[in-house]
Amino acid sequence: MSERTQVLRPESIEEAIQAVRELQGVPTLVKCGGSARNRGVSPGETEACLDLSSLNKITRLDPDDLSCGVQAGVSMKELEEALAPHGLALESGPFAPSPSTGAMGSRSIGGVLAEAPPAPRSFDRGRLRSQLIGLFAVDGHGRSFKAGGRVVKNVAGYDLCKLFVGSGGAFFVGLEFQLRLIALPARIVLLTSPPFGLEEGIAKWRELRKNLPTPRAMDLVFEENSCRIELLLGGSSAYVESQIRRTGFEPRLEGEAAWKGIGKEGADFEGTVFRGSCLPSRLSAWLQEGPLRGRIHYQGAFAWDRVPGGAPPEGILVHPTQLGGTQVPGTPPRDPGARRIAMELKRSFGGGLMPERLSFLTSAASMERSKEERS
Amino acid sequence: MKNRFEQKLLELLGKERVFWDPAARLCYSLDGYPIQKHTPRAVALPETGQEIQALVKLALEEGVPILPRGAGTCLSGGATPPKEPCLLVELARMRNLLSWSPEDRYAIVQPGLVNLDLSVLVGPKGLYYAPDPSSQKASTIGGNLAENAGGPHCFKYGMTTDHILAVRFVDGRGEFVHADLEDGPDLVGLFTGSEGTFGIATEIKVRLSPSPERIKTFLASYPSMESACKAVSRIVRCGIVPAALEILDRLTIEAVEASVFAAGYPRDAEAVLLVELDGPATEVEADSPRVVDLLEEERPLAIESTTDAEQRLRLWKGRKGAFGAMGRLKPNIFVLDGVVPTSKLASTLEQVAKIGKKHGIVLSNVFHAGDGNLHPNLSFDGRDPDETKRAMAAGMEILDLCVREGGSISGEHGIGFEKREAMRFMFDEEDLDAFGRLRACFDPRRVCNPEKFFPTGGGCKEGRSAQFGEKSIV
Repeated sequence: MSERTQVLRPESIEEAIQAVRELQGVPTLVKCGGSARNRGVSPGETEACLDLSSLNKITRLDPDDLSCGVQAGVSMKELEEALAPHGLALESGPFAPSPSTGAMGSRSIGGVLAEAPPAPRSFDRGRLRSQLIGLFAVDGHGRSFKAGGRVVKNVAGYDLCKLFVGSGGAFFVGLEFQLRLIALPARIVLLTSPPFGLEEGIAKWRELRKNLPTPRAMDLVFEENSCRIELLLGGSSAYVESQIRRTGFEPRLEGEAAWKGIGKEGADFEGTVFRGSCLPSRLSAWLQEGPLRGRIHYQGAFAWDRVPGGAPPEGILVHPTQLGGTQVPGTPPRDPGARRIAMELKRSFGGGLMPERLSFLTSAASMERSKEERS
Repeated sequence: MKNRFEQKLLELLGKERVFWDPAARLCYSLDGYPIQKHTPRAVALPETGQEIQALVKLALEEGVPILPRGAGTCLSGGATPPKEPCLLVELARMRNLLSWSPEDRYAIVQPGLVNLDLSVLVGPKGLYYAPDPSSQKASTIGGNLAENAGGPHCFKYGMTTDHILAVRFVDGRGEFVHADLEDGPDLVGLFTGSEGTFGIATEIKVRLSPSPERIKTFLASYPSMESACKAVSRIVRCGIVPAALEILDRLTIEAVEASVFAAGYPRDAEAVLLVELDGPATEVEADSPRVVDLLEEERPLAIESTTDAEQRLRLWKGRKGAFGAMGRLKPNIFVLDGVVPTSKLASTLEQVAKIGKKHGIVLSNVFHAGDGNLHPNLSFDGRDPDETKRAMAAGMEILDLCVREGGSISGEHGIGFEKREAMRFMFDEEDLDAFGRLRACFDPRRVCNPEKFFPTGGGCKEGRSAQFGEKSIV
């Protein structure tokens, strides 16, 4: 941000709505905890910054209904601490440490939802998109609205929650969120395999994916020419014990430490980190191309600090998101139709929010148009 | 003499794949929502995505609303034609499994493929498609996608939206859109549950799940509904996630036991609770004693459990056949779909019973207790206008109650015609305006399944111009 940047730090939902109304059309960076402060907009293009860090209340916690309400600036650490005494947790995560502070807990829930980073437990129904059951938001034109609700099952109204998760805040500002929670199982254990060679490790990971009942998380972690498997199990003691015997892997952490511990090692990436996803069946071909350092989650989402040269093989999608860098989460859709809809959404909802995101979409669409015109 | 619209339609599909005659069109005049009926202007049977695109473009050119239809099992009127005569797109000829990968656990299907047929096709590889609406023997993946269908097992496995990876659809401009979870903003999540108001799906990529190694079903009968609901709360909070938690009340038990769906439920119980555990055999067996302990804490009249496939089918027979058995009570049934927080199940059901009594309507309950999704069944005689009116009034009052208790007007059936006015219980003008703007991004001329979803009247922009043709461009 430049020195001219106007910083607004609302202390209530009403103040936040008013602030967005006053900023209509002004290129605005939205930040919650600030851990992603350099993402979403280039410093030079920001004229205003909406800082939601003072919206830091947990507005409701209903343990019996497995749900809670939180404002955007609540940190993940605060949320975890509030849930732990009730034996509750957010199924998604654990998210990589904040790129700016290195602290895991400093990330805000608003930032995490807007960014939707890949994480070991975030697959199937554990994806963040399934955890957000309701929101209250204000769009870039200053119009507030809600979507979803407080109950875990609800199909009333269009699912605008889905548009927020992973959007980088490009369409509207999420002010308060309703979240689905889970009751933690009786026993949680993090197992680590012995080191494998690349081929052997991939084969083992694929075999476990095929034969082992769906675990809470299962990461394949690469360190240059070797790899290991991290396996998070949860359930009754008898069940967890049987799975430990079945895999032969060594228990490393138990309980809360295990729940939060998977993904911690090797998450300290430096330099350019690529995120993306690949089909498990195509992984082997890709990994032939050279030494790697990174981690692939159960369903194929990954974070790497080195992607082999050249284009990835078919079936592997790379989002060139740089942790700690300046690019926004995700890429514009490759499909021209989806890109057109994304632009309509940006025009209809986004206003001046996250201007680089707008130019990102606009430039991609312009490129496509020129290509079409040329052809 | 055919008019221009009819001639163009014939040119597109030929006379074998377009229904004109009134008898054929009458078959499409309603879905599982028995209150509203409208006959479509024509019924088209496309076989490819390109044909669907051509039909949408034709509808746009001619100013005719267009409505996709799977099996017509929707319970909220989502597949009922709008009042303004429409072009109905019957997707029964697009029911192929196009490709699938057992290792990567996905399948790409056409929208007309029947839900259960997909599980049968991929079953030999130890996989299945998890969303299981009660209509799964008939309802289609495309219809499930449009309504974000649920089912008894979505307590553990999630709704349809949790199992859709990508959708190729024709939007309200007649253009193809390929939405993919891994590619840009979550258009997949927006499209799922949009009730056909954003466009028509032509290909759907779904997640396949590993079939559970063991399934164990418990039936616990209780002397009061409150005890059954409390048992549900205990299980939900303990960290075990059953595949299903279903409750039937006394009136439903009586109707079921007197019907061909008799499952041997104890007739002296006020409520029966079905609990199902699934997963690895070791996990199911390890969790079973804990589940029995929790069920016993609420002093049940009896508990039985089984892993035997035939016996399990028997226990589920009453639940699955409950809606059919209701036919013994009255000729028509109006199935509500409100949701309340699970902690408020028992108190809400007391209020629901009072509402039924107040309106003089026979009311029974069979519901997905684990996620608070109530299905109060209002039995009435559709030939009696006064009773029909009272049933409708009771239904609206119950939906309002659900919202006041912190819940929702719909857990899995959608809004359609049925609940469009009830949308105002949950959403104010600003919310509805946001929905209207969202819809305009996909279907600016509101050619796709109009007259549904948005309430009529009032100040809502979408509501005021809900009838197609009143306002051509937003």
